[in-house]
Amino acid sequence: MTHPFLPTEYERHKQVVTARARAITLSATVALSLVVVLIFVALLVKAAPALSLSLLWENPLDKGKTGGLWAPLIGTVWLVVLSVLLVSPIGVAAAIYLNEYAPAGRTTRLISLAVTSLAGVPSIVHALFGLGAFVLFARMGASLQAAACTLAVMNLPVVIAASREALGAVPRTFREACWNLGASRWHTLWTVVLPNSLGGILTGVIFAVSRAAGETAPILFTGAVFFATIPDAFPQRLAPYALDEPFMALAMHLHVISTQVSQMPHERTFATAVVLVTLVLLINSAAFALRLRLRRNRKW
Amino acid sequence: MVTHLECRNLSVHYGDVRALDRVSFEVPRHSICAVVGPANSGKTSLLKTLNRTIDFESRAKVTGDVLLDGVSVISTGDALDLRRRVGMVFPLPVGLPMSIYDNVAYAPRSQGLRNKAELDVIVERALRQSVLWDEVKDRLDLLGTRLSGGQQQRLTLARALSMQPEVLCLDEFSIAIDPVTTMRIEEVLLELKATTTIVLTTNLVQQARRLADQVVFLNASTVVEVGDVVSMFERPRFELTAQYLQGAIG
Repeated sequence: MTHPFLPTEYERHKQVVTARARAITLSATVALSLVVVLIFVALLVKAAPALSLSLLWENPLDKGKTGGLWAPLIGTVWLVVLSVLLVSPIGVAAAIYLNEYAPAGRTTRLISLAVTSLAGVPSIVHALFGLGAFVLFARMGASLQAAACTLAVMNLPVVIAASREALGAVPRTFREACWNLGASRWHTLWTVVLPNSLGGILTGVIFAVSRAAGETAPILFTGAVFFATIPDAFPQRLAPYALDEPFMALAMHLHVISTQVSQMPHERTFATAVVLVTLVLLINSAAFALRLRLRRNRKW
Repeated sequence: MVTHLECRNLSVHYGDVRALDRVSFEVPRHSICAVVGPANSGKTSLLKTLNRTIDFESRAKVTGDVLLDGVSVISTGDALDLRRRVGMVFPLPVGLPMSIYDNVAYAPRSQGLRNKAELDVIVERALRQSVLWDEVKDRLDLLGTRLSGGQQQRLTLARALSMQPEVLCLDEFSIAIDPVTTMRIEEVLLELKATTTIVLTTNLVQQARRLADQVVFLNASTVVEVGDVVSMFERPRFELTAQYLQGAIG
């Protein structure tokens, strides 16, 4: 007599299938993580001889062959801050309209489609648009403000999509409960919807920031230059670029020193890459930390 | 008795689907009207029309009219004010993601009331009326969403009562509540009747019998029969009504 609790043929088969699916998905995850780790380790190893704190603090000299990375680093920071200040209000407001007010119908679907498509436009096309619209048409010239505007346009769909997702995560029943009590849409938005989606919106904005920090193409024609002289003195070096002047940026700097400058010490190129990647990782980690915190504070 | 609420040839369509077909009946002031009928007979659509929450169903189309004190509900420009006068409790409990106190104070605050002492009075009254006060009075700062399903349902009721609506609509209010609490809320509804007109839908025929002054029997989107509770249960005019009330159909 067989034991009544022994697995049947069918149950054994199910266990095998489960184990196989787990193995396949796990190996994909491990492979992915390995790539990320390898990139970072390889960069670190090759950059090791050039890494030091003065690399961050000093300004580049002799086409970046000596000195540090302060000028491009602070340029990237300002570029990103400005573009986020531009894109956040517009993107969040558009998301609120699309998610909370727009009547469901053909027009809304078309607008959503347009926004999604905008996210798929290659960054070099955004660069050309920025050149035409901001540098030439709006007469901004190749400048920090033109580059920030171009990046803002590029990140608009990212911010809109993330904000819509965050707004959509607030159950419709909450809105209906408020409307039911005679609260207006606007009041409901401020008292229930926004307080409970702000975290998701912020996370989306931060991811847009990190994307902006690493992009080269959109700033290539719109304001980033390989070399700009900025002051070494302390308070001035924190805000060295005027809005209507060209500026240095890390991604641009890396692009030029790795392709245009002859006899560039290799470890310096890799050190620049390490600084850029670390910056992006730091920004992304902030987004993850924020998301974790908010998940712990979930209210429903 | 004076008519408080009146449905006149009221029809609701969702696209091509008819949910309510030329429904007419009157509800006297300060009485309880129970709308009964099988699933999909149009009970919820009827209630949603009374405070225009039907507006949030993008495909719904309403014809005919609802009159509140003789004034059209369907063509009123101020649906927000209407919803404060006609409170609504839906069958599934919704605790808003804020404290119990803020849940109940939400509607008064949305009308601009900020005085803490006045709010305290409103919150306590509404929570007592919804039979929740004793369970939550020591933890009013707890998140409303952390309450149990039955407690959240009473919180929903407390929110509706915070505005002291002149008409209170309840859609299957007892689905998520235990029998003891249901009985206590039924007692509260009978007390509220002194100052409020109540329209409720229920699948529990006996609940309608216990509470209602008047019964509206809906079937397949139309009114089969309207009558006072005693004659409906004891001398229904139609065979269909008798069958439903005895549990033979539905």
